Amino acid sequence: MPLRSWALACLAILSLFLLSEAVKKEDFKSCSQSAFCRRNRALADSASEQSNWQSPYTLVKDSIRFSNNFLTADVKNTATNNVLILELQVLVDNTVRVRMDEKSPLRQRYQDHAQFTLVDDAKPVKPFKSGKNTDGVVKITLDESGCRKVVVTPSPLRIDFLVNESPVVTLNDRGFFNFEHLRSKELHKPKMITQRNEDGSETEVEAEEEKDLWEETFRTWTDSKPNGPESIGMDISFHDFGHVYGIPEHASSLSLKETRGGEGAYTEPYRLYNTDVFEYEMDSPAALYGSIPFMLAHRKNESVGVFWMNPSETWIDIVKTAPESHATGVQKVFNMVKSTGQKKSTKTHWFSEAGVLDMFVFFGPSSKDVFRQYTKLTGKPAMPQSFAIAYHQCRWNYINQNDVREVDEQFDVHDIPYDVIWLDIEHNDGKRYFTWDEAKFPDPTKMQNELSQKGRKLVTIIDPHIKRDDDYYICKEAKDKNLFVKQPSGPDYEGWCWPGQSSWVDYTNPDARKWWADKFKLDNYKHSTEALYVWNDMNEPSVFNGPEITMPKDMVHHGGWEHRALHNVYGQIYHGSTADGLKERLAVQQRPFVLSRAFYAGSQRFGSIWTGDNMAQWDALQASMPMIMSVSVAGLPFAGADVGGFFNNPSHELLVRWYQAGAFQPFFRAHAHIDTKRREPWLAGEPYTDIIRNVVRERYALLPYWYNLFQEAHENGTPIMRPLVVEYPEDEAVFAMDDQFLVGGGILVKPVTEEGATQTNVYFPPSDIWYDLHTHDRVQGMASQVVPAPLDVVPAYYRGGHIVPRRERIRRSSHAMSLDPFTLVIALDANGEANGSLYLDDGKTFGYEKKEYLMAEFNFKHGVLTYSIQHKNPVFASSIASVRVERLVILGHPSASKAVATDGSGKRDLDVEKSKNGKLVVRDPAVLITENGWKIELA
Amino acid sequence: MLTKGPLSCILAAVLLATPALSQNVRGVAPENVEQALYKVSGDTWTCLDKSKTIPASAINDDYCDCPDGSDEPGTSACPNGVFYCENKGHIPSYIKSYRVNDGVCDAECCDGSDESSGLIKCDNICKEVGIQYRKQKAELDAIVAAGATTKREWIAYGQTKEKENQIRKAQLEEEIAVLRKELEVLQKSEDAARSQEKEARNTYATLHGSSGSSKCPPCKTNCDAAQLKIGSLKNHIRNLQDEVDELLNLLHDMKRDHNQNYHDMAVKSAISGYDEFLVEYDNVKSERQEDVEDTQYEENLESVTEDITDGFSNEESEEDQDPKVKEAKQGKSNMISRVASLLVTKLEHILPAKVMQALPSYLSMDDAERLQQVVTDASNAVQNKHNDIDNKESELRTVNEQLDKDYGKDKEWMKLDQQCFEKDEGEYVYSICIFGHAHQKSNRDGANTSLGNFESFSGSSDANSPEYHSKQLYNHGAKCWNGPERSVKAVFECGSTTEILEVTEPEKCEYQFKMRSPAACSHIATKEEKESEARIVHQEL
Repeated sequence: MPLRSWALACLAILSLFLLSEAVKKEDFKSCSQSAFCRRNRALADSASEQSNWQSPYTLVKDSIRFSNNFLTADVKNTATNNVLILELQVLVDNTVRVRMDEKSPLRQRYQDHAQFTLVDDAKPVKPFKSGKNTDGVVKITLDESGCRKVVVTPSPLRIDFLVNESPVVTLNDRGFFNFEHLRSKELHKPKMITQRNEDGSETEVEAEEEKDLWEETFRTWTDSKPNGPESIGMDISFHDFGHVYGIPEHASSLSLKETRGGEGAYTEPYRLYNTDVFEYEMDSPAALYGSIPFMLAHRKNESVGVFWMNPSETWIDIVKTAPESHATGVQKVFNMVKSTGQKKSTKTHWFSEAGVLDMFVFFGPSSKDVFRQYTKLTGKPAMPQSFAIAYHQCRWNYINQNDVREVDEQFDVHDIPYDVIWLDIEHNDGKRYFTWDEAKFPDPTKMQNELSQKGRKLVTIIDPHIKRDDDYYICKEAKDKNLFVKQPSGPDYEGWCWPGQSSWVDYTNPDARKWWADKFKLDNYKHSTEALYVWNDMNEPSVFNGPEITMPKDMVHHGGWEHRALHNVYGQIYHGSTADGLKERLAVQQRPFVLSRAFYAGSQRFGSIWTGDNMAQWDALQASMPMIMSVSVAGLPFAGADVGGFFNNPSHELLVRWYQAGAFQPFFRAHAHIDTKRREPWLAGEPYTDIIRNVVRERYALLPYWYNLFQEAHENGTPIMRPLVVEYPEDEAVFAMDDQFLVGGGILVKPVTEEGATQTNVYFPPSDIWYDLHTHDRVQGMASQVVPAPLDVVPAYYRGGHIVPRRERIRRSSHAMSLDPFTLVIALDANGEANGSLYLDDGKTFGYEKKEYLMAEFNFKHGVLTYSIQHKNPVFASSIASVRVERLVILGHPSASKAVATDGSGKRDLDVEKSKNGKLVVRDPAVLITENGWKIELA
Repeated sequence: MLTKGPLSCILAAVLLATPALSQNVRGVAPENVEQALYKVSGDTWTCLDKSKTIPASAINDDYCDCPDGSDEPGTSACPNGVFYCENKGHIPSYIKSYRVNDGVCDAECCDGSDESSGLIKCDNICKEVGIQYRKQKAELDAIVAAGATTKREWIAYGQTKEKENQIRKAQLEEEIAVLRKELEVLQKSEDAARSQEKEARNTYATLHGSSGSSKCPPCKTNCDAAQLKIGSLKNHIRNLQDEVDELLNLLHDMKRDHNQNYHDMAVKSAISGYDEFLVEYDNVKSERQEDVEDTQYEENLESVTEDITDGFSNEESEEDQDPKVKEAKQGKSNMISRVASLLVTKLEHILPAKVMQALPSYLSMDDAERLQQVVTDASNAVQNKHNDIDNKESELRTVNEQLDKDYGKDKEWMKLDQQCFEKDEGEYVYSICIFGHAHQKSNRDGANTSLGNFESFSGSSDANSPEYHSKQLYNHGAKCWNGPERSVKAVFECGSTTEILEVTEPEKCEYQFKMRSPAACSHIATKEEKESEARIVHQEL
């Protein structure tokens, strides 16, 4: 065969090979391979099959107490006589906590994770009213409005959360509640069932659920399970809520799918178990790198949320039911439940492998309220440094110092701004983190200083697996200080990862966290400077030779806790320790920037996450949107996907479309696998490079707006990349929409994700007016319409009623733009009005916690723009004293032939320029951003 | 600092002029022509592209009015403007407007005039930069000069060689033509000798029976030996096939059972290599199908040879047996004796009895050997002539190749043809033979891997552009298991000697050799030219 055709054939075979090499499903458990998943699903099945099924759990009436502002009561499993303690607490801001633990457990069950998950002590507040009736039914009214109540029905145990007397959420509605008490193997009496033999005789055999109670084998790994069964399951019904969202991370739709029966339903439950999945599958409930057991439910104009605080392996089944009649339970008792109309309900079933039951219900009533309520508990999303929300350039790997310098220079040559260049695992000496391959990087300090002169940063990768090597100081110290995760028999756990034989630091140990954080001091991390930030990868943790590519569940952490109990929070604690290290490394605390792949509830406090190792495929680009939004609604707004796709080579078209999507997503980083072709923006050539340049520059122009949104998220937990349902809670057409989104409240984006598309369908919520982001034309016509979208256009629109601050002088980095004047885009609504805000701080330190910032509002009404400052720190204000508004762009046909600015220095006439499409540009009002009360009138 | 493109035209104008205006417009060269563009008559001023007339006060008011950005030469307001840095003590330059007041002390603006906002204080470092620049320039000039001198020599060499080649080509073509004629003559004599000898041999054979029979024993030995060899080779092939099958099974199992989440590059490579091998192997297999048929043919051949040797032995034991009976018995296997006996029979009919009697003495074995000698001599003469022609043709091919090869615009690369250079980069020693091949040799295990063979110059898609000869592509190197065939891009800059400066692998299996060589020096500055250039530089400063 001639060489050429031989090579072609090879290529064809190779690509087939690559396609077929995607995720190896058999590496990961299905529900049927997980004993506790089987048991809980079997319980659900048998409960559903029996029409007369009754949950065995009942409240012991005379044990009900109200003390310390909360309710306690014993709950008895009438089948086993085991007793649990129920605690029900009302927290501030329409939140209720429900806990259940064994009353006298054989040994403690794991609850220490709360310290890593919750930010405040979640102290209960005194409810407005609480009481019980003679039947033992407990009723708690949250506040004086009286519209939110919790009702506990004793037998069988059932907890209803009511709004205006209608249950919105019910626990144990279907009687799937299951609390496996701790037991000793010796005393455990297996459940026996009678089996009829072929000859008609009967024998007693162990019931199916007795299988794998004390030891469980998956492929070649055997989990020793010294504690035996200890799972917890609960069914949670969302009455009349047709849509639920959240519980990331899955490559699934935003509105979660059913998992049991029904057309289009998954057959497996959604699984939460942090795992490193190679070339993960699209449209699947399989577990991925992160886990946040938070679910948002929505129906027209009402949202509620549930947080299932448990970091052990967790599965969630979802079914949706036809309209139901509420003729059971609470309704009978109180005879007060109103009909809730003919709407679909969502019924969920949650079960975790270990720990205690500890969950929170958030009453909303809007989704934004739920986000606030949830992040009040688990922490506000970190306020990022200003560079972190700009564009990041990454590749596995920029090979040496010259390579970094050349890539850096090429951005300038091509007038493409960027803020951060990244170094992957090849920059280290033999994958020993905190070290440099000095042949490739002879002078990292100089390299960072050069970057830093242009306001740019460097990110290096630091993973939690530590190479077993006594000559490596990190390993040596961790060993000497006894900080590694242990085997059940005592010695350090060892597994295989990038550097070969490795151990994992046990970050649940406070000494380990402190020691780790200390490693980031500039003196300790050789050749690091202030311009260096960090990327935490492989922190699920990924263990190449472990069961499901992670750590065996029976490994032992600080305090003797099994890895099983805390697996999903491990990566989050690690992320937090790294962030602490960066925060504390200088005399003046600086905001850390740490990207993590694994995450859990609370990760939002430490930095950003990304969706892991995606593919350079169109479906992966499509999936990036629901994936990022699902993480965003679970309190973690700073998320993104590898632009271009990590594995394989994207076509130029796919690369361009991905940049167009990524530029409007919160974490904006291009990344590529070591086997791929180089794909820095200038390599694609024209017209691609020019299109990429324009969209990256658009990101930079909008950075002030993005910064506002990060501040808003920091304050309230509101998603930045926002599903339409959040902004249009009444519009049922958008409840499941996840191929378009809003950036904040003011910009609608519909990235093109179809190969070869030159147009796309956009839904314009009809309650608002929309203006094209690029042409400023007002959108006419139907709510749902096809718009042109040639390769150089990403459909994006300003929403009427919003004022968006921009900076139009695109420079080399965001830092270089920090004193530039603003352009205000004022997109008028139907009444000719618009509002917007501006938040500025030093973009770097924690000064904002000491109120060192400026916060102001723009308001446009009756042809007058007014500016009012809510807060101004004088020291900070003096650092931006020269910053002005240089231009107003008013969309929506304001009538004016001139404008007049009025500020402290008097009145000034301003030129205006009017375009055919109804746009009015007001020339240089020169009003200062630090001066309160100026106004600009159109005349 | 060096400036490029249209700016350098403006610069050139600047250098010839003397500063005149006292109130210079910021960001504009302090020179009559330039500043004059910003002279205001009345209250208005027109953008340089004439698109718009704006109030004079709008020049440098930090708001962009002109579509061409010309109203804001001294600020960052326009996205498309340029800013002039005077850089006293060094060379003036222009920077893009977005670099004005961006908090970066631009290297191109050593006087710090680009930063006036207070965001950063940039010192005027033009004096130091100027000194440094002149020093570096002097060094660079020295290198360029040395390189240029060498390049001149190389050009001379290349052109001389080129001429020599042309002369040699003509010579060779002529010589070959002559040789061919001589060959023709020799071939004729050889043919004559051969037919004479053949005739004689035939005659002799007719009279004395098959001449072959006496020579058979050694032939039989050869056949036996050959068969033994074939047998042992077949065994060897079978053994090898067993080993291949075993290895394939191992790889098959590894592919099926490996844990891809280990991300073990070596395993990954082995598996993709295995997959590629399978494709190739399938082809080999189909070819083998043909081989099998060949083998069957071989087996036929074997039986034929066996028949022949049997025939010979039969002949020996049954010398007097009638050839016709033998023919009937052994079929075609006994051709020689059959033909011989036929000939004799025929001759008996044709020739008079006397002649027949005389023939044996005439055709003595000595005569046959003498004739044989004549044939051998003639044949040797032909062969020698062939060799002469081959040698000349081979030389001609080399000469033609050299004549056809792209040795650069002025043949400056010819000197480097097949010259080799290496660079030890720690893990590997990289080597390149210009117009030949590139290799990497592991310092660990000495394994030598081809990185490719010379394909072409590749500095530009346009072979006439000056950059075209600044890069060379070496491709079709050893294939990476999970990547492309290895290739090298050799990027040359001007230097006084030829060497590899740095080897990198920006993408897997695609290497870049950063090299320098006199051949890449861009122009040949003679001493006189250089002196005049130096004078200009002096004036600039």
